[in-house]
Amino acid sequence: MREQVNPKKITIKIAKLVLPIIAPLLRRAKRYYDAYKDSMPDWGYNAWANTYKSFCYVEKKLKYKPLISVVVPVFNPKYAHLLQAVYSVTNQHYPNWELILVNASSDKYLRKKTSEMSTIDTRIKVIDIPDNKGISKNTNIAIENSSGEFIALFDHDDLMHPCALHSAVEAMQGRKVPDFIYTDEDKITDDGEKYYNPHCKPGWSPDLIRNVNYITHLTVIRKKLIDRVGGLRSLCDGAQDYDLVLRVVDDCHPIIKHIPRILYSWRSTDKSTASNIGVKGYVLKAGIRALRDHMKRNKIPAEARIIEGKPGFYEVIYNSVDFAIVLGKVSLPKQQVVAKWLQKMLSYSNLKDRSVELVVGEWYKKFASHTPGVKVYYISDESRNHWKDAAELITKPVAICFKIAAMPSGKHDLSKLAGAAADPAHTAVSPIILSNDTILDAGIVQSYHLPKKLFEGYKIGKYTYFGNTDWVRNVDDLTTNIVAMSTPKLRELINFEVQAYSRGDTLMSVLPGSSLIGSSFVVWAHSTFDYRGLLKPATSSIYHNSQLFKFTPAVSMHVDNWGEGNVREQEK
Amino acid sequence: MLENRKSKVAYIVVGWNNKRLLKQCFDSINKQLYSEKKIIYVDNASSDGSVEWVQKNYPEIKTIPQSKNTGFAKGNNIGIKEALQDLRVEYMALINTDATMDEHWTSRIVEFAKNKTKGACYQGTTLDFYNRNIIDSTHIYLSRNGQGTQGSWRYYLLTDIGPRKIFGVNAAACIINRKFIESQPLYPKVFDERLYMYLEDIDLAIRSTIMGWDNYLVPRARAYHMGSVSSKTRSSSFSLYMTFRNNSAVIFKNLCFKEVIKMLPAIIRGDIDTWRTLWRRHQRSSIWYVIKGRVVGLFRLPLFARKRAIILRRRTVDHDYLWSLMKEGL
Repeated sequence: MREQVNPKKITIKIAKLVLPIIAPLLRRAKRYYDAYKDSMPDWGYNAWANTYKSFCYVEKKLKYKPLISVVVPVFNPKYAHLLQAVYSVTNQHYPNWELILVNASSDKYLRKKTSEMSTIDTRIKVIDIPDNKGISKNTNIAIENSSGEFIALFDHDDLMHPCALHSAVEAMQGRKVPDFIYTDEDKITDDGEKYYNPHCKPGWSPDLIRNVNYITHLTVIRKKLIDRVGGLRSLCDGAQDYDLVLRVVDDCHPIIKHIPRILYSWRSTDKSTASNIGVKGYVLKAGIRALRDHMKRNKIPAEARIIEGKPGFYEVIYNSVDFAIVLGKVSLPKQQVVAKWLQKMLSYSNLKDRSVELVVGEWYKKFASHTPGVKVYYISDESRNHWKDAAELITKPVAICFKIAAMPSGKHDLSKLAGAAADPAHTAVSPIILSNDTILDAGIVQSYHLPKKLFEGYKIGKYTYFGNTDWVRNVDDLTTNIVAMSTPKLRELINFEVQAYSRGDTLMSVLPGSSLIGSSFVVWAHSTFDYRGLLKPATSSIYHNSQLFKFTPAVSMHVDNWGEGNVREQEK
Repeated sequence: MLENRKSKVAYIVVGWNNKRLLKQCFDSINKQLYSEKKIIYVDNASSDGSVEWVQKNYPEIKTIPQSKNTGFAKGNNIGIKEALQDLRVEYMALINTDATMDEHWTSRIVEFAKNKTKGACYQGTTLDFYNRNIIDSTHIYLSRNGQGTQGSWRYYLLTDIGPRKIFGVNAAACIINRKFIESQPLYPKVFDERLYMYLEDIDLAIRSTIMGWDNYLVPRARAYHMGSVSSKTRSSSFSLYMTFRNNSAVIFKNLCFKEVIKMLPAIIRGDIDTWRTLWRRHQRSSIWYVIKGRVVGLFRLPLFARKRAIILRRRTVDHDYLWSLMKEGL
């Protein structure tokens, strides 16, 4: 008798044969799809922009109406783009402006057309110069010929929102007139059909600007300050705006104000920096030169360097210092695992050039093995004030406090973190804590008067409306998971209220009303730690202050309360 | 003395059997705070005795009666020709009989126009006469499917609109610069008389943009417009026929070959869409007028060949810029 065919068995057999062949293909296809998805601009923003961007919110009364000179060095743009740029200035609500075009184009037709542009409006001035002297010198010529109190730096093929100048002037009302104003921006395709990649910037972040020039457009600066620093430097052509911002901030200490509205559209032509900064090699060199000069001026003991594969981004590596690693209390069942992690971290990290000490509970004696160059101090397990005792034991200038067990991703991550914490400008420095490339902890910011964990649940390096997730950030608060501080500051913090550090989940909750208020917390994105589920990370409770807004995938944009910001997440 | 140096504004009103509307129109002109003015009324052979009524009640208005209905275009041309004879007239305001204005309308536009040396036509925000929160038009433009379109038609007046450079102005209430009229190739004929009715303002808009002049919206100057009073007396099929007849002519006259080819698929699709819409609305007899208008328009194209040659010779606009303007007209 023939055996009856069982269809179930056959399908399983076929599946066993086919699946191993298909599975890698499917996996590869998914990887390609993910890469494609990430590389695509977000067209969802375009729909929002088309409906809401044309809206204007113009308060009627302006008491203080300074003359704003919009300064444009023109060098061989597309004629249509130049026209659109010029008309976007003439379309401004705010009437008290002047537009200064420096005509340096080499194309004859364009030259002729540009010099005719002064007939469009009587407030347009065209300065013809015989040959192109580079963007910085051209801009300087425009600034010399301007008579405004403020200078707005504008590119020859970009677009301004009709409210741009009005909003800037609105920010100048009141007793404290800011000297330096910057707004949010987005990008526009070459043909001008679609808006994409908006960038909602944070407030003034001195550490972020050493990482990337996040203030690109639109900047309005008081003319006096530009004159004081001597205009733009042609040494830094290509990154001249970055250089100018750094020099103005260093030399003049201006009052800086950020307008949280998208008032500028940066056209990404094939040539321009918006689409691909790598096209222009000289831009990178100019940028690093500007940054190095900035470090020299501020006497920061660090070295700036270009990040490979990420044009336009710079890394600041502080001189390495001696540091101490301090561990929190560890309960009995977890001791073995933690000891393993600790040994692995110490052997993995490159600690040769500096002496390192380790402050742990007495339980570690059981597991301790000799690690060269690491000196171990023990705290009694019965100690009531674990952190206070630990702080008193530290002899090194910087301490890295661990409340969770996470592995550094790079060999130098520990020393980079310690170096950054040694800078007196930083109160506390945290790394980004990841789990499988997903961000668990990258500091805390305020969004609509509520604390939010910044970029929680996002892949590292991903683009969001608030910039990429792997930028160095000045934040409002840090969680106490992994914190690097200089030892005196740590002692001051712990002695303020002895039990608080062990109880508190965030630094601000440790010391409400102490010297920490107004200090700078930094998320040091150059060193990332991978959390592998060993110890529980702290959960957040109550925090303060305002810089960034949380980005959620289902972000929908409303413009109702524009003083607050134009992006608001939808609560599901 | 200062008052005399001010440039004069000539208001040109073309009327046809609209006696009941003339009073409010003339009153709103007389109320304008801008003092230097001159009113010209061109009557297109009305049968309701409006000429006598105007001469009796407004003796200061210059009335030009016509022997037959010459259409909107020719009526305005006659008015403009009359206005140009006064050398102090700098701006010509074209006002429809069914439109009224705010008292600041003229002064705001003229003040705005001072800065613009290359400005051709200006308009304020034209609102609906009955519901003054709704916009009738802020600008007009030739969209990429070849249709003349009203900008922000039926939008709510929600936010402040800034002064804008626009594609063209709605002829319901607008101001034209004298210099622009003098620069016209067929001076002093501003509007194309062959078009008779409909789309002559689109024609003017394209021509001014193409010749490198700027049109502007001055949003704080407000006018109120009832809309299509004269054509209501005629059948809707007539307006469809005229629109589609003139459409081919306007595109052929002003645009270069490259642009026409670029627009052609959209034009054909637009026509088919119109047929489908009319079919759905059970106005099936109107479809015939649309087709007839298109066919007659195509046959009339040779009539515009000379004008096309003249205009294309004076073309200065950049193709990419024109195309970007045709997206939204702003």
